[in-house]
Amino acid sequence: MSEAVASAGAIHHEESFLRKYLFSKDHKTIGKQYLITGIAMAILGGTLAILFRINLAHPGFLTNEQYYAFVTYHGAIMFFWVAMPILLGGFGNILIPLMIGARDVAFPTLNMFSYWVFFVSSVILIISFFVPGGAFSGGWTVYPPLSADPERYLGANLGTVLFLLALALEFASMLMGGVNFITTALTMRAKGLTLMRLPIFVWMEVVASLLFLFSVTPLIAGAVMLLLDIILGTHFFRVEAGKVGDPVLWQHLFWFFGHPEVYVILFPALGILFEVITTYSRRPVFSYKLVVYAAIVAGILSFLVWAHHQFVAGINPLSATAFSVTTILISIPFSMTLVVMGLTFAGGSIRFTPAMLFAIFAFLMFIIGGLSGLPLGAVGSDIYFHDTYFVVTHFHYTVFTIAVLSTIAGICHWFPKMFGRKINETFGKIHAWLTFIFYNGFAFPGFFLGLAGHPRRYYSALEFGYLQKYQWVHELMTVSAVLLLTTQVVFLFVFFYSIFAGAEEKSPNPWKSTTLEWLAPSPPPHLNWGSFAPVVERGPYEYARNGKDIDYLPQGKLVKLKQPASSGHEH
Amino acid sequence: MLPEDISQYGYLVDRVIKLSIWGIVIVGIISFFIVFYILYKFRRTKNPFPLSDVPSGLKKVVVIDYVMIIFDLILLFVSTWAWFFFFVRPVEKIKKEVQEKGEKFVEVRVIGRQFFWAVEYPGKDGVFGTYDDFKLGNLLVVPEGYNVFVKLTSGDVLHSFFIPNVRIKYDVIPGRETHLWFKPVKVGKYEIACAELCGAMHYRMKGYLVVLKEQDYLKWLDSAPFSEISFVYLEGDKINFVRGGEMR
Amino acid sequence: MDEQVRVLDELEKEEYESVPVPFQKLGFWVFLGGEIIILGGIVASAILFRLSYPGWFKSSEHTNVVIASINTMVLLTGSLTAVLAHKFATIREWGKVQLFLGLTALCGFTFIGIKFIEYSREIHHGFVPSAGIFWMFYYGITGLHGLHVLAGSLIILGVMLFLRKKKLVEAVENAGLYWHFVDIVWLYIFPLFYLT
Repeated sequence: MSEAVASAGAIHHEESFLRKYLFSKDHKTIGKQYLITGIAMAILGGTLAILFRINLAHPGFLTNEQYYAFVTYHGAIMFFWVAMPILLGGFGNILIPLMIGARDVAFPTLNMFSYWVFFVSSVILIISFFVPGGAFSGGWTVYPPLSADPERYLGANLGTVLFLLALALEFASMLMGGVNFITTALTMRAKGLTLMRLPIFVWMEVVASLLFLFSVTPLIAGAVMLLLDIILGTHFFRVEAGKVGDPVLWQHLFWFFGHPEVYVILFPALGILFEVITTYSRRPVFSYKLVVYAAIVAGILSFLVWAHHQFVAGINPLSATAFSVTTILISIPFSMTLVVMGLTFAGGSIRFTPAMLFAIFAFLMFIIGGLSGLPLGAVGSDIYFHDTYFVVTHFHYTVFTIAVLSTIAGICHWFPKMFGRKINETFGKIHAWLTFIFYNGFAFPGFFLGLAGHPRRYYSALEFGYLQKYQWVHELMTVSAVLLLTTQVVFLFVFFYSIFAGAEEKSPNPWKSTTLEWLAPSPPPHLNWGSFAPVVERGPYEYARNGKDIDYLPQGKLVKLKQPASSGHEH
Repeated sequence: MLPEDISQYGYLVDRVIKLSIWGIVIVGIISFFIVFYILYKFRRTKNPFPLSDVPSGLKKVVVIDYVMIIFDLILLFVSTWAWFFFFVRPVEKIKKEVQEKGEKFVEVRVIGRQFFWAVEYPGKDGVFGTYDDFKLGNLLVVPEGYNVFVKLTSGDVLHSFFIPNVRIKYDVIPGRETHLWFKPVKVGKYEIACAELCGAMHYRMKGYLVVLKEQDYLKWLDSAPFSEISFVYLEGDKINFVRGGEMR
Repeated sequence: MDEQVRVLDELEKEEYESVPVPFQKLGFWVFLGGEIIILGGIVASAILFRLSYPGWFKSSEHTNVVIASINTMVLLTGSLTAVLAHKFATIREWGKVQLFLGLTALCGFTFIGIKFIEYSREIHHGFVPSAGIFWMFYYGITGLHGLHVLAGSLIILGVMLFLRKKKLVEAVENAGLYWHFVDIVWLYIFPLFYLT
């Protein structure tokens, strides 16, 4: 036993390449695998977006089948293969154990397994794009009967089955990750780290994992039913003469998952923003408790709002009003969270680093995204806005902010911790500004298209007389989108260059941040803490507390591990 | 930005749209202003050390939350009003009200199919299931100032029946029948769009709503046999009928 | 590597904030929570359909209550042996634990075998999954449940092998819990499809 302790400091013994980088059980390596895979899928999803965006500016660039397949895959990839793996799998894996002072997640083998299931799901998704019969092109929401009888309506049977299979595997992988996160965060916190001292990011990850667990599971049942429809010809969702099926049931199951799913990726993003903003504005969160309670309340409410995606989709009109009320209600915890976020800047000493710039822009975009949700949640105006570009623009203002702006803020912030190297700051600032400008150039005109009544998922706006005059808006959006993607590609080059050849970061805590992960060396070794163990003494955001020179107090300190009193354990 | 409203009651929806858009624009601009003020005031070059507390003046920003709650309540009230008017009241009740007020109405059936709108008319007698029923593709002809009751259903997959100019949209669902009601008050030719992805030609699933003056409408109804009339278009005030396979 | 993690964890137990449940147990319960909702979702869909389609009752007359009752008994017996296994695990009589776990797994495989006989009888009578609303739910739900029984049996076999290496009471307990879960789900399915 005492030998184990002695060797714990230098626990880096030689491992084969496979063991260390591919089939690693180390939470940081798995997190990086998720991050890199997510980025690779983001390149794919972004490229698809640019291709069909060009088609919108110049109809005829793609065929209409291609266009709808690209739109479908873009949506699915960005949600399930980019935002979720990066924010939950990537940041969650790397940061949760470090932030709570654990040595690894609760189930390291399950964690590794979860990544490889995810990887297989990505491969199947890409295969499904190229199978004979064509890729699935029925929209990422997979609405039946279009998806329940793909042979007849889309001509893509195998593609649809593989698409659903990939989706199911991705869900399974994220479920495994969620079980890990919940268990780790609840049982492996360092001494003194009570629940109300957890960094907000950890809270957000736990709430997100719980939401995912309880929302995706009914959809898995629904997916089984849909697969039976496609393969065995049952009619859960299919409607044929004399046979009763109900396409609306799928919509219920899907959106019962779909709305919490948005918060599954939103919450970790908010968590990242709070960590970043407190660090660079040197102020504690304006009201820690309010943020935590708001997240829990919003999480619970998110299970009661799903039918606002179906206001005009054949649900009982009276229940639509009830869902409208809950939808409008859910804006209240979020407006509180955003006000708290804004007041976290106040009174600070704000450093405009790249991470902070991205966080500020993300904050501003969340304001637009959140406010633009109101006309959609109000059932009266949703009659008009439902399934128009207004919806598309609204969720791009939230989801792009989550998956790109917040993620890049997090990458810039934790880059030294993850890789032990620096990423160029001047470049980062230029990148942030360009992203902000091009993004708004691309997205904001969408609100006007929505007001003009432009339905979403149109291959071309030229077919309709009342839309023809807005073709120039599509052209403007396309130009901005191309520039936006170019900017991100340049960033990725800098990102990968800096991983291997950036300037080394010697200090474990370059940003003078408080939370536990900054106590570990950069990058943290396997099992994180060596022969030390972190002990937490205070809350997570003790900025602006201690005179003028050192304006922060770390959340805890490292203490040398005690020698075991006896080896009386029996196994 | 909004397309012209040609219906009697579209203003109810427009009211919600205008209220919500103006509300969020004002709240958004105020929030942005406050954020920029905070960022400018507390930048590191000017304020090298953080304050130990948020200035009490800024704490009043929390008022935004209350503003939002009040705005939410007003918006809910106005929007639910419009919703009740269009969709919650049973269509039989609306019909009865219309008859009591002495207004005229017509009924049509619309069946969404990949990728066209099949419109069924009850003919001159106004009753379905009689010899003078007829069908037109992608063409919904209605008289000006009449109440129009539309029965929607789908022949294959989901569609969504969307007429921007009358502010009406509803999904078309196989195995179900949906009722819509609107009252056009301006003569002209307007477009019907499909707003729910229904396959590769979704973007071309275009129909026309043609609103005719009452006498023109009656004249059009008279000009049997209907199966030969496949298209109606307007040139200024003049209505032209095209006979035989001109239709796409 | 895992061994080292475990040693360090053991050393650090007092360094962690104390929680009333060990993490294996918590993790397992979280997983079970998810499972319950998966099956709950599909059973809820079935109940919704059942309420709106009167044809349900006619179809359910064609299911074989006798076979299903035998299957219920098999599953319940499995639950009993799982409980016994856990009981002997707590008093460390590992030989008996192996025996009773083996019996539980046997019950699982018997259940699946009987289920196959039942399916083949029904398909023989022309009740394929696409034969009607009742049958698609019948095959969907009992099939999904059958997969869970299979998984439960395999888990129990896995635990049996695992116990040769390491004698862990928690492993027996969690495997038993999963079995009970599968059993309880069946107790909801049974009246839904056979007794109406």
